[in-house]
Amino acid sequence: MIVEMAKVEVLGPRRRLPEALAFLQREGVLELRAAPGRSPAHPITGPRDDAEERRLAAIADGARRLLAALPAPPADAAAPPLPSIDAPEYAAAVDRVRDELRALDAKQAALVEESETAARYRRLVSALAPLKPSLGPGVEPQTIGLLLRRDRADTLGLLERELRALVGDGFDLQWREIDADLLGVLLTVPRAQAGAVASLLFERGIDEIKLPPRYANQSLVRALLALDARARELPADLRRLDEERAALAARVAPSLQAAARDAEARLDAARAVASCGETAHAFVVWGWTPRERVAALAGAAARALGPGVEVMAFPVEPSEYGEVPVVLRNPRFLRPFELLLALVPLPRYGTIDPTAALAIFFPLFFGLVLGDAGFGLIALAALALVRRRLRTPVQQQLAVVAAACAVSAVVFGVFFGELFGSLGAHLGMRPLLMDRRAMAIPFLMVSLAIGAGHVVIGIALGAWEAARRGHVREAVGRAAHALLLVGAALLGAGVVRWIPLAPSTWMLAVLGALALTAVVAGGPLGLLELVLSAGHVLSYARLMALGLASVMLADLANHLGATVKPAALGWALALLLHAVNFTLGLISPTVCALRLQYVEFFDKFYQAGGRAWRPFALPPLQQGGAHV
Amino acid sequence: MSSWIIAFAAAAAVAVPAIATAWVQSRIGSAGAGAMSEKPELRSAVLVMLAIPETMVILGFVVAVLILLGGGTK
Repeated sequence: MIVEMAKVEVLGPRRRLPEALAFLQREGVLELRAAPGRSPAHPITGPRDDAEERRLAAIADGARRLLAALPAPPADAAAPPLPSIDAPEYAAAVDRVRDELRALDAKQAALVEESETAARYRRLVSALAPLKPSLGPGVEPQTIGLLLRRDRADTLGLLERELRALVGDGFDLQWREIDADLLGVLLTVPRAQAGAVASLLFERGIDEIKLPPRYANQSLVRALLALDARARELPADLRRLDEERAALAARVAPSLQAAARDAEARLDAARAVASCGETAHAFVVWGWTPRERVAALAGAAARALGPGVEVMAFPVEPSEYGEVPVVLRNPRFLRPFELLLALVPLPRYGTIDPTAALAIFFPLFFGLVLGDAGFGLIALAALALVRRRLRTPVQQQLAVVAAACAVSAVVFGVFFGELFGSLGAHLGMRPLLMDRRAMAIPFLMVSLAIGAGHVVIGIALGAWEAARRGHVREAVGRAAHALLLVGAALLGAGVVRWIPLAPSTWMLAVLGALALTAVVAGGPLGLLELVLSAGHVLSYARLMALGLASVMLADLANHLGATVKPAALGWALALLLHAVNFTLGLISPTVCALRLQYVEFFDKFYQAGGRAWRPFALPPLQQGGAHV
Repeated sequence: MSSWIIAFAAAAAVAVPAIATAWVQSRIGSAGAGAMSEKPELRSAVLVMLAIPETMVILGFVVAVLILLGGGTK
C-alpha cells in the first residue's frame, strides 16, 4: 500500500534556521519541498557562499575517488589519522595519501608489465635455446634473435642472400616455429660484423628480439633460467603490493569516508537553504513526511530545539497528489514483490499499489507456464545452495520471488503430472488436474479463463479507483465493463457445457444492457475499451502456448534419451535438451508473466507518475567499505 | 483433408507471424536502444513496446495447435 503522507511546516526565528536544518538533517524524515504558491513567506534568495560549496564538493569528490581506488577496509579499521576537513593541513594529508597510492599503482603497473614481458620472452627463448649455432673455431660469435611472420617465410631466403653479400659464408642461420603465426630465427655472425648486420636488419624492417636489459648479454639458456626464476618471484611481489594497498586502506579509508560524508552533509545543508522560506522575522521549512512520523518529529524538535521552533502538519489535498512523493509499505512477505515494480514508474500518490496482486499472479503465471515438478525442485535446490551467498537486500528479495515461482512450478507440475516432462508418468506420477500434452484445447480454455479473471480484477480495481476519486460515471462504466466480461465468460462456459448454464434471451438482454452502459458511460473510448479487453483476454493464450512448448521440449528430450543409440549419447542429448528447456523455462515464463502484468493488467487501473520519497538526511554510512 | 496441407497450414500459421514479429521487434529494439541511451528512464516503456508484437506469434502458435488438433477430423 501507499503510505499516507503529510505536509509539514517547520517555523522559527530566522536566526535559528541553520540549527533547525541541522536537526532535520540528523532526523532524516522530511523531504524538503519548494515554497508553495500561497505561502506568505518568500523563498530565501540571499547570497550563497559559492566558494565554500565548491570547496566542499571538491573535498567530497577527492575523498570518494581515493576510496574507489582502495580495497575495502576491514570492519575494525584503525582510528582516523586524517585531520578535520576544515583544518589547513587536510589537503596536504590527502595529497600524501594520493602520492602513496600513485606510487603503489606505478609499482603494480611495472610488475604487471614485467610479468607480461617475461611470459612473452620466455616463449621465444624456449624455442631458440635448443639451437646450437656455430661459426667454426677462432671466431668470436654474436647471436641475434629474430621474429618472422610465417606467411612471409620467403624472407628467410632473401635474408640469407643479403647476409652472404655482407659477411660471406661466416654466419649461421637457424629457425624454429614459435606458434601458428611466427618463426623464431637465431642468427649468429662474427662479433666484428654484428653492427653492420644489425643495420641491415633495421633497413629491411626485420624485428630483432631485444631481451630486457637484465637478461641481455648472456646465453639464451642462462636468459631462460633467469626468466623462469623471475616468473616464480613475480606473484609474491604482486601479493606484497596488494598487502601494502590493503594496509593503506585500513589506515585511511575510515577517515576518508568520514571526510566525504561530512563534506556531503554540509553541502546538502547549504543547498537546502534554497528550499526554505523567510519573512522579516521567521524562517519556514516546507516538506513531506509519512503522517505516522509527524508526532515523533514534533516531539524530537521540541526536545532538541526547545520553544520557538514549531513543527506543524497538514493533510494533503487531492489537488496536490501529483507532487506528493511515494512510500510503499507492504507486509514483510509481500515486500520482495515490490522489486517487480522497478521496471515501471512508481504509482502516483493516492492511487493503488499493485504489489499484492503481483505477489499472487506473477508466481501463478510462472507456475502455469513452467508447470514441471522436476524443474521447480531443481530451482529450489539451487536457491538453497546459494542462500548463504546472498548478501544484499535486493539479492535476498529476488531469491524470495524466485522461490515463490519455483514452488508454484512444483505445485502445477503435480497438477499436470509432469516431472521432467513425461518422465514422471513413467515413474507412476498421474496428473491431478489435466495432462497438458493430451488436453491442449482445455488448457487453452483454462488460460483464457484465468486471463478473463485477471483482466476483470484489473477493471474492478479501476472502477474502485474512479469511485474513490468521485468520478461516478467512469466508475459505473468500468463496473459494467467488468460485469460484461464476467457474463460473457459464463455464457461461453455454458455454451461449451463446462457449467450447467444454457444461453437464454434474458442473459443476452442483460449482457446487451451492460455493454450499452459501458459504452454510454465511457463514451466512444468505452467501445474501444470493450474491444481491447477482449484482445487482452486472448493475449493470455500465451500461458498455454509457452506451457505447451515447454512440455513438448521436455518430451522430446525424454524421447531422444530412450531411442538414440548408443544409450550414452541419447542420455547426453536428453540432458542437454533438459538443460536448454530449464534455462528457457526460467526466462520465458518470467517475461510472459511480467508482460501480462504490465500490459494487460496495469492498463486497467495503474496510474504511474509517482516519485520515491527522498528525505533530507545525512549521507549513508558505507557499510563494509564497499567501493563508492 | 490431406495431411501435408494440414501440416503446411500449421507451419504457415507460426512462420508468417514469427517473421512479422521478428521484423517488428528488430525495428522497435533498435529504436528503443537508441531512445534508452538518451533517456534511460524510458526502459519500461521500451520493454512493454518490445513485448507487444510477440502476441502475433503466440496467437499463431495457438492457431497452429488448433489446426493440428482439429484438422482432418471433418
